[in-house]
Formats: sequence, C-alpha cells, structure tokens
Amino acid sequence: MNSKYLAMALAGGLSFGLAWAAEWTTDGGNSQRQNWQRDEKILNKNNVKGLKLLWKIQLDNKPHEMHSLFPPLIAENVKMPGGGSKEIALQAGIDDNIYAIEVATGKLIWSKHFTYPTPARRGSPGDPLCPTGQTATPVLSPKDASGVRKVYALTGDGKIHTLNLADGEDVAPPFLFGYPNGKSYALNLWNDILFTTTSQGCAGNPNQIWAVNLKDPEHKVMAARPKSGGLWGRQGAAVDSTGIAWAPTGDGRYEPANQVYGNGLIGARVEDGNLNIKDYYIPSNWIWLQKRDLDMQVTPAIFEFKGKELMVTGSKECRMMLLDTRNAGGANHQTPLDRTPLMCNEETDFQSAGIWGSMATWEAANGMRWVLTPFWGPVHPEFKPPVSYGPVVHGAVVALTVEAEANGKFKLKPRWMSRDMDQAEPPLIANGVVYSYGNGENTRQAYADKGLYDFSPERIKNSTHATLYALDAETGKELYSSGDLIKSWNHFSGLTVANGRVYIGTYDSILYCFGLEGQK
Amino acid sequence: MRAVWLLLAGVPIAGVAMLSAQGRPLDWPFFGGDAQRTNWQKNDLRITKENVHELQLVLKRKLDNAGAGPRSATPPVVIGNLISYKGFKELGFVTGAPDSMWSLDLDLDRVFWHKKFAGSVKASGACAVAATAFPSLTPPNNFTTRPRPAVAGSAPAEVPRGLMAPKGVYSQKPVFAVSSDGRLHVLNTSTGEDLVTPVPFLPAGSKASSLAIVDGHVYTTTSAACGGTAGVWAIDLSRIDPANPAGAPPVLSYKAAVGGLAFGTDNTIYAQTGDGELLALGHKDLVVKAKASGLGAVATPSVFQFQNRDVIVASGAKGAVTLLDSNGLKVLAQSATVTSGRGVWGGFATWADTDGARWILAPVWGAPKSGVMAFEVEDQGGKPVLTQRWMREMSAPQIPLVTSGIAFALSAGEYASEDAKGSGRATLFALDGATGKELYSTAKQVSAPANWNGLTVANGRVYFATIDNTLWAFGIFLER
Repeated sequence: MNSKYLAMALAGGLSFGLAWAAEWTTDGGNSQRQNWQRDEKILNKNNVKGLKLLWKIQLDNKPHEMHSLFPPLIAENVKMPGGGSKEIALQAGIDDNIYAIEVATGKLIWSKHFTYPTPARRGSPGDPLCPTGQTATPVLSPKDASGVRKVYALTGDGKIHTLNLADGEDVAPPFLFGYPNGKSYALNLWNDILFTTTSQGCAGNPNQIWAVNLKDPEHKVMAARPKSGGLWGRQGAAVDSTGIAWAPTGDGRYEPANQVYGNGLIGARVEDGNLNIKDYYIPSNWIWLQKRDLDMQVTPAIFEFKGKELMVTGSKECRMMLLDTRNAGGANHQTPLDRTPLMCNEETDFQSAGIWGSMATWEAANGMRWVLTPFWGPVHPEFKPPVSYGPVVHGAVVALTVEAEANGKFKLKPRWMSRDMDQAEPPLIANGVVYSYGNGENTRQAYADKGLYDFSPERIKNSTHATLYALDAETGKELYSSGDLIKSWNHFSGLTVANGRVYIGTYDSILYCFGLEGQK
Repeated sequence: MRAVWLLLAGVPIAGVAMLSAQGRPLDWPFFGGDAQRTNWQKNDLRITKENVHELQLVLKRKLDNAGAGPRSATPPVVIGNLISYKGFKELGFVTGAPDSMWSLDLDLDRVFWHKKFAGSVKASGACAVAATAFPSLTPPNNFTTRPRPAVAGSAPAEVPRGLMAPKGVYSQKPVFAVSSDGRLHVLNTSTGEDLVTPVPFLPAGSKASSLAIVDGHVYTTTSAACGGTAGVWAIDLSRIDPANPAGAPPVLSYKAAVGGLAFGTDNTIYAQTGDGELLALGHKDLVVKAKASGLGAVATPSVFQFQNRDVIVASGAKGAVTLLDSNGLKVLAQSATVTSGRGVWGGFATWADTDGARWILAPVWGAPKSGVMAFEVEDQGGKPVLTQRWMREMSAPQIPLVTSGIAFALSAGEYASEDAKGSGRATLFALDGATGKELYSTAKQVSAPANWNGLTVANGRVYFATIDNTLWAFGIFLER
C-alpha cells in the first residue's frame, strides 16, 4: 500500500520533497475565503482513499467554553534560526496560545502563551457565545525583505502581536485592535490592512468590521458598524480585489436611512484613514430572517467569473445567494444575481440547522466554476439535487455550479449533495477532492423542558466526535472517511490542507494530521 | 488605543437590543388581550391606517374538531416568540370542543402540536358543542434579551413558587386550559405535555368562559346551563405542587350567574350578573367588595384608567353603555338606550388615541339595527361623559378590537338566535377608530359564519374562527 501511493505520486512527476509548494496562510486559504487549495499536488481523487493518521499532537491548550483550536496555518520553507528550513503548522488555541509544529514530524518547535491582566469585562461563564481568550485565527505575512514570516495574532486582551514564525519571538510591539474578550473572528490581511469582525456584543464589544493599517505607525483602529447583531461569519470578512471587506451581519433591522444593516452583508473599504461601508445586500425577506433568528452569518467566498467578481454567501435559512461584488443586491440592495431554493431547515430552526460557517469555490480545468456550502440538519424535502448519496438527516455538503445564461443572468445550479454528515462543516477543495467533516458537536440551544438553555457544559457533555470526509469534487462521491478515528469534536474550527496533509483540531486540544502512509 | 475606546462609546451590547417596537414580537395572552379586557393591542405597529388596505388572507386552518356551532373553536391566544426546541416560533393556541387543543405555527400555518384531553364528559344539547374555555398564557412570554444560565456566585433570579417554579434555568411559561371534566391543564407550550397531573378545578361538564392568569391565580366563570353550577372560580397556582399532584389545592368560588371577568389595575375582579348587577370581588378571596345594581344586562366588562382611577365599562339595558367608578361602583355615565333587541353583545373594546382621548366600542345586537357603536369619553369637569361618535351597522357584530387606531369589527353572519345555526358569511371590517370609515373589508373571502368568541390581533394578523372549525387570519404579508 505504502509503496503503491509513493509510486503514484512519483508517476505524477513529483516527489514529496519537491512537492512543497502549497501554503495556507490565512483562514479560508486566501483573502477571498475561497477555501480552495490551488497548489495541492499530492493528494488526489485516486489516492485520497489511502489517508492515514500521520501524527497527532496533544497541545496544552485549555478550551474556553466550546472553543479550542482553530484551523492551522501552513508555511513552507521557513528558514530556521539554527539553519535549514521547515514546513511549519502554526496552530492557535483559544487559551491565548500559539504553537509552531514541524509538519514532517508532528513535533513542537516552539509555543507561546500570552498573559495579561484579567480584563474587567467578559462574557458569562457557561455561555458558548462569548468565550474569553484568543478567538481569531491568526494570519501569516509574506516573507519580508529579510526572509522573515510574520505571524499576526489577536489575543484575548484585544492586542495584535507580531511574531517571527521561525522562533515565536516578538518582532514588533503589541498594539490594541479591539476590546478585551471581544470575540473577534479570523484575521484577514490584504495589502497591509488587517481586518477582523466581532459579534455577539461579547463583553460590550461592538458588532462591526475592524481594520488597521499595519504601515500606520499610530495603528489607528478603523471600524464600520452596521448597527446589527453580530458579524459572526466563521472566517471573518472576505476581501475582494478592490479592498472591500465583506462580512455578514447578524439579526437586526434594515433601516438604510439610519445606516442600519441587520441580517445582510456589508462591504467596507479603508479610505482616507476610515473604514467606510461602500455597499450592502439585504435579503428581501430580512424580517422573516430576523423573526426566526435565521441570520446571515456565513463568510462569503469571492471569485472571478466571466469577467465579473462574484461572491456567494448564505444564512441559517438555508439558501445560497450569488452576488456581484461591484453591485451587491442591485439598485435596491435586495436583488441577488440568484438565490437558491431552501436546501434544508424546513422547520426554520435557529439551531442545529441551516448554513453555518463559510462557503468554498473552485474552478475546474474546463472552466466550470463550482461553489460549495455546508449545512446542518435534514435536507429540505423539496430540494432534490441531481446526485445525492442517501438520506441526509444531520447535514451535508452541497455543490453547485455558476451558470451564465444567454440573457446575461447568472444562476446557481445544484450538482450534487454529499452523504449525511453529523453537521457538515465548511468544505475545502484541493486537487479535485472536497474535504469536509461532521463536527460531532452538540449544537442544541433550546429544549422542550428547559426552553433556551445554551450552556457550554451541557453541550460539551452531549457532543461526540468529528469525522473527516474526502469527496470527489465533481460527483460528491465519498472517497474517504475517518470513521471513529478522531476521538473528540470541535466547535467553530475548520480544516487545512497543504502538501498532502489534512489537518483538523479538536476540542481536547489535539491536532490531527492525515496524509498518505510513508509520507515525509 | 484612544481610537479604540472612542469607537466603543455608545455601542449597544447585543443585537437583540436593536429590536424596535415595530419589530418586537407581541403576545395576545388572554381573551380580550389583557386582564382588563380592553381588546386593545397597544404596541403593534405592523398594521397601520396606511397599510391596512393591504391585508390579505395569510392563514386558513381547518381544525379536525368534532364540535359544531358558534363556540366550537376559539381564536388563538398568541405567544409572539417562543424559543422552542424547534426554533423561534410565533404560536397560537386554540381550543375546540370537545376537549381538543392545538398549537399552531402561525407563520407557517402548521400544526405544532395537538392535544386531546382525556376524560371527556358527555353532554347534550348546547353543552355538547360548547367550546372549552379560551386558553390563557402567562404574560409576558416573549423573548426580549437572550438569557444566560446562572452561574455560581451570581445573584439568584426571581424564582416563582409552586407550579410556576421553572424546571430548568429558563423554562418556558405554560399554557393553561380546562377540559370538560373540569380539570385545569398546565401544558408545556412546546409540546402540549401536561406539566403536572391535571388539577380538579371546575364541576365536570361546566360551560366555562375564558381563563385569565392574574397574580399567580387562574380565574374563570361557569354558567348554570351545563355543569349545573354558575360562579366565579379561582385557583392559586403557587399552591399546586408538581411533586405532589394528589395534594390538590383548594379552589375558591363565588356562586352566581355571571358573565366574563375583567380585572382592575389593583386586580379587583369585575363581573356582571344575570340579575343586572356589577360585582367587585377580591382577587384572592372572591369576597364581594362592592356591587352595583339595576344595570339590566350582562357582558364582560372592560376597565380603563381615567383621572388615575379605574373606570369600569359595563352593559346597561337596551344597549346602553355604562361607566362606573371602581371606588364604590357608582355610575359615572351612561349612554342612551339604542335598541329593543339583545343589547351589548359579549363585551367592549376601549383604547386611547394618540391625542389621549379615550374611546369605547360596543357591539350591539338590536332592533331595528345591529352594529358597532363608538363612544368618546370626554372629561367634563373631572367627570366622564359618553358621546357617541359613530356607528357602523353590521349583522351579528362580535367584540371588536383596536390596534394602531384601527377598529376591527367582525360581522359573524346571520343569526336569528343563539341556538340557531348561522348562515351567510363572516366579514371582517377595518374601520377608522375615530370616524368609523371603512378602510378594509374581507368582503366575500370567508365562506362561513363566524364563531361568537371575538377576535385576536398579534404581530400584524387578525384572527377569528368560523363555525366550520376553520381558523382564519388576515394580515400583512410577510415574505419568507
């Protein structure tokens, strides 16, 4: 088996050593949050069924509420202080921890635990919505002139730390970028502008998009506030080619005259030292979404198609919307290029159903543009994609293509729906393979006997384990399942794929690395 | 650093706090909307005089109900937003004779649960088709802020006693109903399950009126026509021990033939008797505190505040509307008699317009004409005076209700008498509360006569039931 896969890889003209070419420097893979690993050359449709657990590492990270580890970032060919270079997985933990792990061996290179005086304000203990600590996935910079890769990490005291990826040493003084225990989401670095979003008003933090220019010695903090519920897209904001950061807004009202943009998607750009809302999309049924707590909370994926820069997003209602980044929602801001029918959540439930997290998109060799979404809960009985794989009760991944019609309009065309997954999480595409996982998390927030009871200990107690899947990107056919190999679950985390390895972290602070047997 | 703190100034803490009055979900927890039986939805801005012409049929639900006749099913009491185990729901609770209860997802026109009470008492004639009492909720039921589980060291929240004590940290408040065997059912709003063993409350077979929950007590009235005992009944919920269902608490009663109940702002109970009296009863002992006689008719009173005191609206003979001072039940004002017919039918609606003027609506079944009469209560030297402003004629008018200055009036169809089978069709009218001008009518959209238990309004929808066990709602379209 081992030699077989090695032979297959070599037959492709590659060696594992030479195959170093892929990185994953930010949550979602790039600023557009495409969740597409374009540079994967090792794992493919033919060999992915041979995935094995290459290593796992127990980290000393302490979970806060239900959060633990975030998707690791991958940098290849990092020059090390003692000489040589390594491929490094940069792993962030909620307990204000950063770990640098050698990918080849799964051994810890360095770690850093940030300490600070306990902030005066924090979320309620037991509340899964407002954990304390580092809640944002860090981001890696490109190499600077001296070859240093910087890590930007936002700790629970609201400060940005700038570290040398090679050794974890500070390379710049920390600066404030938010509010202590304010629940920031994944950092996004675009042309020296660092973005994040915040939600749930945790510890009094405003719900808004935040930006800071790293070149600004004053580090002026800029913000765009939609006066809505939380901006809790899993991967924060996605940034288009013009520098507009797009982020979904949680439950709230739509009052354009008062610049209130609840239950929508706002786009904000840094201009003259300010972060200004430039455009927005509000679903025409926003009142319904608000009433049922079906808020827009899905980080969009941005892509080029037929000369336009488009994006897809979704909501707990369980529809996907296709939007033009240059004119989101049209003249009335409420008309998407296309909107799918309901794919799930017939019950219109605010919990354990609908689309959660983020989208994914990739372009096939034939030019076909694919977009993917995960969803939780049973498939809607009236949603019948042309290809599916048995009953979907707990969740699935749906793949669609973007179609340009003769009349100049665009459509989202469902292509396949995956097998049932225990709450499918945002997919990631690499070399013709879709990776996703059922998170195994208990996501129930309300009970028949107790009413609303969203309590971390209760949910932790009833969570099971995550299961990693690999699917054929063009058909959705299952190519691999980790079965019960992963022993714990995760919450608001994600996958990373680079250079033949698939990474997933779990609540018990174990980082798993899957790959082909014999891989170095 | 300074820039960050500047940004934080004046920021609301949670998205939920962004809800304006227009978006806040509203309850209709009782018959009449509140304990004062005002039939006035004070805070619903969804229906306005400007958009009421856009009303459309938004719900039509045929109930699988064996009952028949003009009280076979009730309009709903409404929880504007229940965070149920299946999500955020606007639920309506409807009872139907005999011994059925439905919880409906009012947005989706789906049955959320259906309950069939055990132990039905067989009755005959009018009693066999009499609806069980209007159910009742415990206001407020609405979600206003996201509750957090309590943690060690935090201040304990107020914990209701006995039956009202929550099972969990944030248990939902129950819905109450009475079955034909006279038992009080305390039901989980999410599932319809009995939260405690049904509690003996009324004589079996009683024809009970609407329930009301006030100050931790459940109240209703019964007529002598069915269970044989007419009276006012009360039970203290704090005396019901879920852990000891056999230890049924004492039931308070006051034996008299009365109509429906209204409650003062001090919880005093007001009821009209068949002997033409208005009674004032203590709400914890049902002892008569005061009475007025010579009114000559029966209706469910309404209560409103006038010059910082409660004023009771009661029915007088031949359609006269009577105002009484809660202090001693002295008559303050009375309108002229208007009919030789039945007079005021069922009860009243009362509201204050945006200028603070107090209005009263009275449905009158009479001869030579029936309809809804509107009176303005004018302050003349500190004394209220009733001035009739308008009347809208219609057949078999039911108790109207008011929201956003709009009077909704329901013509039930054609009824020769209470025992007669209705004919024709129900028609819902929206009238300008100040002038009586018609703003909307359902015209011929409803296919059956209406039941005699009035209207419900909540969150942009107006509900009523028809004799064919169909629940109707006309409202503002909500895109889903």
